[in-house]
Amino acid sequence: MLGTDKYAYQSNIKRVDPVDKLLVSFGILFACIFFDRWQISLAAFAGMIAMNIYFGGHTLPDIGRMLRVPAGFIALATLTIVLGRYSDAPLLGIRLGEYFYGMTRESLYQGFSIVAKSFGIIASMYFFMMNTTMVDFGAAMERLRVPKLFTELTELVYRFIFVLTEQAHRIKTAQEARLGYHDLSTSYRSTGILAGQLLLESLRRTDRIYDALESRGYQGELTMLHEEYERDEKVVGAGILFAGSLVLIFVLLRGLA
Amino acid sequence: MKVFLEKVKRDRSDIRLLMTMAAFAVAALLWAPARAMHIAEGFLPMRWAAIWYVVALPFVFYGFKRLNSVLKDHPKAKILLAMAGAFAFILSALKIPSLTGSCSHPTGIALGAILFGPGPMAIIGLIVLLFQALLLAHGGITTLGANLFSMGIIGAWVAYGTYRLMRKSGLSMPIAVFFAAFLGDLMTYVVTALQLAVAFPAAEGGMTASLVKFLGIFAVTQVPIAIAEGILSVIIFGFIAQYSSEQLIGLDKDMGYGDETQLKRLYESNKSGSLRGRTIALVIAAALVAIIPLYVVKDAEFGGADGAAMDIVAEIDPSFEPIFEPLLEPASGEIESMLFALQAAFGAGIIGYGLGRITKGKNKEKEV
Repeated sequence: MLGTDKYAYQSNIKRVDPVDKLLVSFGILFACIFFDRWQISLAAFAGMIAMNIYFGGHTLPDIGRMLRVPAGFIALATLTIVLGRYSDAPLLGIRLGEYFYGMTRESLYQGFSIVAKSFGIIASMYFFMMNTTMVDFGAAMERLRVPKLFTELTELVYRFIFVLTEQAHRIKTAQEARLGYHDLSTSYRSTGILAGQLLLESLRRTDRIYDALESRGYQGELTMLHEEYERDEKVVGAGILFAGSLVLIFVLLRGLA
Repeated sequence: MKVFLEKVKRDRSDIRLLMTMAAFAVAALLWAPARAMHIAEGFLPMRWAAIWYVVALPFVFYGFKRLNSVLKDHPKAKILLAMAGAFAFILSALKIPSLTGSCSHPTGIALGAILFGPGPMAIIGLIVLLFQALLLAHGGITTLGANLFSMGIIGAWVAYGTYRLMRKSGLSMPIAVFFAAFLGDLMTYVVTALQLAVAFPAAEGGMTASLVKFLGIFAVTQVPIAIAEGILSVIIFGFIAQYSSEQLIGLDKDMGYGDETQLKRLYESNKSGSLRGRTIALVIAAALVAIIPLYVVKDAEFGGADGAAMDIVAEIDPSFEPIFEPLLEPASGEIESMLFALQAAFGAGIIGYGLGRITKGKNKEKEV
């Protein structure tokens, strides 16, 4: 199983309608990006992780492990934004020549609110990603009237990924057994051969799959059957309640300012 | 004399800033490695997230329109494209040893753009980015438009254009493939830095200062990745050209390209020298390509403060003459600082390589 799918298949709310889960996630996501206040972002971050644990049954370390993935980029890019060159003495910085290098109160605040917003949005997307399998996501796209060609392509890609991953693993094991990754130049060669062979294999498989489909009456359209989903009022209710309270926080913050 | 001294002082502080930032970058990367340069979920403000969606949309629309018309006569194209998407996804999960000692991963955009043309790459890129965002938490839904534009559209068109241009001008396949992949990756990184810079202009110096910061800090990871991907693409194409030709020519037919295939050109000449020699030559050539235009293109618009200071001094004291003329004068101050950035990037690359070497032993056991 791949990435977040590993968690999605263990989720307690796997059977809940994917469209509902998507709407809950997107609702909170929009609250974060639209209001763009760090208080709201932090509330969304905490709230969505809590919902992920309470409804989905995931553990905090699992979510933490997932949160580490985008952390590298966010840390690096935020540092780039926060640090800069100033002609006046900043909050914290060093003087080199005629300029100061460091951070000001404003840039620090900006960096903080960017990080808060990012993680708020990430936590709300994780609520969807860690509780919905890719197959169910395809069903959701179909129901949301996403163009059929796109839905079909994503569903096909998802299935082919597993076929090719298996192949890649087998090639890699064979290469490793023959000391194919023993130093830098052999690893480059081996990686190149692995990718090239995988490409050729994917073309061969395309031919075989196409032949198989055509012999079963393929006319250029693939129809998939999806499972029945149930509606969980608790998840939907909690989502609506949470989104409502975020709006309330926003109104209060505006009243204060 | 005074002017000259001041110039040196300022340049040193620029270098120091860049080195400090490079050190921060390396530290952050050791803590949590930044993979391919996708802008993380939620990082862009709403306005810019929306703008990049709007910019990317016509390309996706065009790609789907073309695909639809191809599908009427070539129903196999759908399966083929889906397979290509899966391949690209796996390729992007593959780790290649990068020159900085740590592992990076190829994007495969150049490979796809050369094989399928840049049009379908918008679709493949969109699907791959969607999977990466939803399954691996690389990139994100809110930043999908921006990432698609930098990678699947600009990257693909630059790679494709470079490949065609170099092949047309008679250069051999390995060289064309290397530069297609290298420049495609490099432009992806430049566009991403630009996207970040316009969204987050610096308080002093505005967008330009911000751009220099982003370009400098991400050069540490992205320049080695671009070179690594270039080398890898050459090996992949060499392998394919060596072992299979029928299939790839069939591929063009399945995509509805007709008899005039791009891929036949692939097999025209594929002479290969020693891998090490070729690698070194290509790395040097890559650096030259980055530097030469800056000297050739005189009169780049943005003159630096130093040039302005010189003019003012000349105005105040007409008898003033600079004591020392530089051997090679870069076209402008901006470019000069970019060269410093390049220098710093090389330095940081070497530091990173050393650090990578030291820490490499620990995670040697990790899998694909």
